[in-house]
Amino acid sequence: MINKNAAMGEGVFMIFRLVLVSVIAFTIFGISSIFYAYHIDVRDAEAVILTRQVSECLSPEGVLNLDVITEDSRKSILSYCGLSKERFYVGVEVLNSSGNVVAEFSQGDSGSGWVRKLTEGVGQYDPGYRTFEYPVLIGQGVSEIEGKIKMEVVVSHEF
Amino acid sequence: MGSFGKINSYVNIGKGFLLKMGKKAEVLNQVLVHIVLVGLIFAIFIFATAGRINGRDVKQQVLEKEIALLIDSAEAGMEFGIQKAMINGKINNIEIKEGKVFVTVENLGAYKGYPYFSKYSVSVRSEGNKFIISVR
Repeated sequence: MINKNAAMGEGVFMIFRLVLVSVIAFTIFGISSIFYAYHIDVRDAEAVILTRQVSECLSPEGVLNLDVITEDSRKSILSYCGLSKERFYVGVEVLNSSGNVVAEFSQGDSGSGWVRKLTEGVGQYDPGYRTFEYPVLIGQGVSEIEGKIKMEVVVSHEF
Repeated sequence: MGSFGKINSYVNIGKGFLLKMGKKAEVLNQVLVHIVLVGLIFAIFIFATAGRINGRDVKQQVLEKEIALLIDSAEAGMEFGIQKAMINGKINNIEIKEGKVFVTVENLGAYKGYPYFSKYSVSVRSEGNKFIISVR
């Protein structure tokens, strides 16, 4: 005669074993998901490309004409250049030969630079960054003076 | 009477044998069900990890980012071709929408994409064994 209580106990024990096997399997899955997750960071490369695009936009052939860039455009330089403004901060300083600031352009969250200092070296939270300095001829009115452009580009998160 | 007693003892032996076999069959049944269920759990587990282990998502990430960088650095009028069968796996589809590149690699659907920031209009078309991306 089959003992019903024993059969029930066996069934309960089997469910317990299955739950245990499931827990072990999904724990391995979870750990492997973290272990195999691979992030390829191209934000530094994006910062380099963006620097080039903005410098080509501002000073094609090495001449920056300040008259064509309106006051409104100076605060939205990425839109002025027709580039996407999400994820980016661009700050540009135009300096004359004695090092005085002649004009400033920017767009994006200027706090990105500050965040960058905090998250520097923290894997995927470390934004892409590039600074670039190059000589230009600054045109204003009829005069042209020698100067330089200092540019800072921050590419923030990609999620 | 003697022969009847013999038959009776054979019947008893038969009953005992059946009872014994019945218990063994029950244990065998339980073990089989158990093995099948554990097998199912591991099949689900292996299926779920396979995508990660063969690195399709990494291949997808590489392709999306490479294409986005190519678009960003391209000038107007440029075109570039991407082979459908390549070292990074078989590319099923490339889509450009809402400023993002979506690549389907080895039937792994793209749901996230990677954004590009080019000021030009970008389109993609399939041509033979290549996808052609045009920047205009």
